[in-house]
Amino acid sequence: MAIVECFERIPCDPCAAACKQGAIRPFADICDLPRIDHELCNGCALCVVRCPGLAIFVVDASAGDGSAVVKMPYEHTPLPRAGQTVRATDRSGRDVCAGTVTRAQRPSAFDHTALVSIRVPVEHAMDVRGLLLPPGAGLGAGAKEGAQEGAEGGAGAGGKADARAGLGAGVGPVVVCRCEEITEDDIVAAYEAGYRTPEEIKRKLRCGMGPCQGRTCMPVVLSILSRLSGRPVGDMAPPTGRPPLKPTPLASFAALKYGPARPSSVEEDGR
Amino acid sequence: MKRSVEVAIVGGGVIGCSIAYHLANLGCRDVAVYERGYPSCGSTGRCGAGVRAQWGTEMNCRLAHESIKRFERLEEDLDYPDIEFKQGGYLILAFSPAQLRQFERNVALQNSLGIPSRVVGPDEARDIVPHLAAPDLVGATFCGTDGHCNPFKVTDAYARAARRLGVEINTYTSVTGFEQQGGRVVRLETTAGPVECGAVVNAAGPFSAQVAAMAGLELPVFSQRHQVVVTEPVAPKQRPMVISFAHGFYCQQTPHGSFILGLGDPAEPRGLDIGHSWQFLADLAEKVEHLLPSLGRLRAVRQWSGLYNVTPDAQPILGPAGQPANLWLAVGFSGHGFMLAPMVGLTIAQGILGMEAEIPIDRLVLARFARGELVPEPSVV
Repeated sequence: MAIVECFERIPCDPCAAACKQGAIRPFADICDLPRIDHELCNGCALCVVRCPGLAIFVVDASAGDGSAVVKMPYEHTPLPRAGQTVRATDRSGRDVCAGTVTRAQRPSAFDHTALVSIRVPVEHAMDVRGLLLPPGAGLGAGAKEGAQEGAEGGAGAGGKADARAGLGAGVGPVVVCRCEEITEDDIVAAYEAGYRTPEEIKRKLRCGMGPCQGRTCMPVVLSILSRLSGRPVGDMAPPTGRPPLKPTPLASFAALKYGPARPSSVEEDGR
Repeated sequence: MKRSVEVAIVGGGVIGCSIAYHLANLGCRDVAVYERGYPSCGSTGRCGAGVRAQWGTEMNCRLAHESIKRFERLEEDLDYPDIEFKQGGYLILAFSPAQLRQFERNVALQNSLGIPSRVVGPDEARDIVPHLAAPDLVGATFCGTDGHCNPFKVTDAYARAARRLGVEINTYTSVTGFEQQGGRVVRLETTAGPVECGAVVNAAGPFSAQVAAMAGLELPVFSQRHQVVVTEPVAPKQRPMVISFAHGFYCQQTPHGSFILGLGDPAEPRGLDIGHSWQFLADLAEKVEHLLPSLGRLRAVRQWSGLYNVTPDAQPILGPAGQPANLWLAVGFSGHGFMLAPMVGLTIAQGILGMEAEIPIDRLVLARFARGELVPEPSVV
């Protein structure tokens, strides 16, 4: 049945609309967290592929042979093949155990999100939330995915194999900072040109200066710098966080001075 | 790290890096910069990024005017891809007849020095900036060659050019003390060990007084927080910087599209605080509503602050300190060091090397305060 690992009260409700069983109850507020009625959930995984946060999984331990199947969204190429042995990883990408791919689907109804099912020992069923393809795997039969020749492994495989093989190995440019459209290659080039700290990378490339203020990109920037420098992420100082934390119209601050009764030019301008 | 250098520069902001570059470019390559963070991480990188020649004292006008000419060709001179220089002008607003008369005197001075500024009436001011409201506007001055430049990139350009010429730029290295012999600084203590030196430059920005004190010298300066906010980038809307001394307000759109807005608070205490306050946003919103109300809809994404290093006449202290004999000062820029950096770097380097300065800076030496020869700069935010 579906396991929801959604902890952010953000305006997002595709899972409730996706569920045809009524197992995810309609939201009273769009910011509600999904609640699952496990009596109604049949493990169809439609919610898994609809969740933009990749926060829903299906765990099926019904085989009774000491194994469980974990179904997870998979947004990388190449797609694993049924029967293939992969490394199952936990929520932070750490290796947990070996797993066997039982199914890898990408029907058009899934809107470009693939669903991969892997069989793992049942005791790891609540830890396994990701997978890594073995280095060099998947480029034969999976070549129709458009993966480029010479790419190695799946996403994330770079860490141990080669510090230069990045997040985008085999899939082309990886946009790290969406506000300023800065790619992983830009960051690697800046690092090699001598901009070594998160703050210097920010000043040079502007990643972290946009409307998201680094909330989206900075963890990825830190992980790239960590890979390049060999320094743990925890040793790096991220840029200082500053108000107003979310983009806020300048005129709305006038209310801090006069109280909300004063008409603001936001309303007059009718944005 | 070198254990002995001809010239040691304390501070890797735009001033320190410009001095280092100009020294090396004039042939003195045995130079090292000591920067407690990375180049421009202090006041330089926190400034409002405006560049103008419309000043009210001759020295500020001349240094700024010549600096703008150098900003115009800096990418070529320093072989740097893009310093984001934009010459959209500065529109300086007057809100009283007395202020307008002062501006007329400023413009006469500026024109006598070749600065192409002019006095404009309220209608022409609104032609230049159509979304300008300011119903009580009396007049304004405008100079089209003023503008904006990216402080990080300018500093980076100087630092990289200096490095290519052999200058050692020591990042994440603080100077912790000076050792003097015979009235000269002979050794620096740094967090990376001691260094012998022939001459020392204090380019420590907001920490100038602390660095001078290590040499037993008291400077008539104080540091003071100034806050800034930046909006999300939007399509080009405002070419010039709009600035009002009466409101302590400035606002400019960068070439990248975001607006930078700043406000000076007369009640701001002196000190080294670089925190932020919500009162600043409230005060700023009030000024925006009065002066440029259509910008009220722009969404602020970040506020921050930096430190001015302020002198009694709001002009920098440049030149030899006198005592110690080999200590040079490039401090007290009072909020406009970034825009003067090209000429300050050149003239200080020329002074250290015993060459005739491109612009004589003797009127800006420290001794002017003891002599009481102050010419206060009226045009500051």
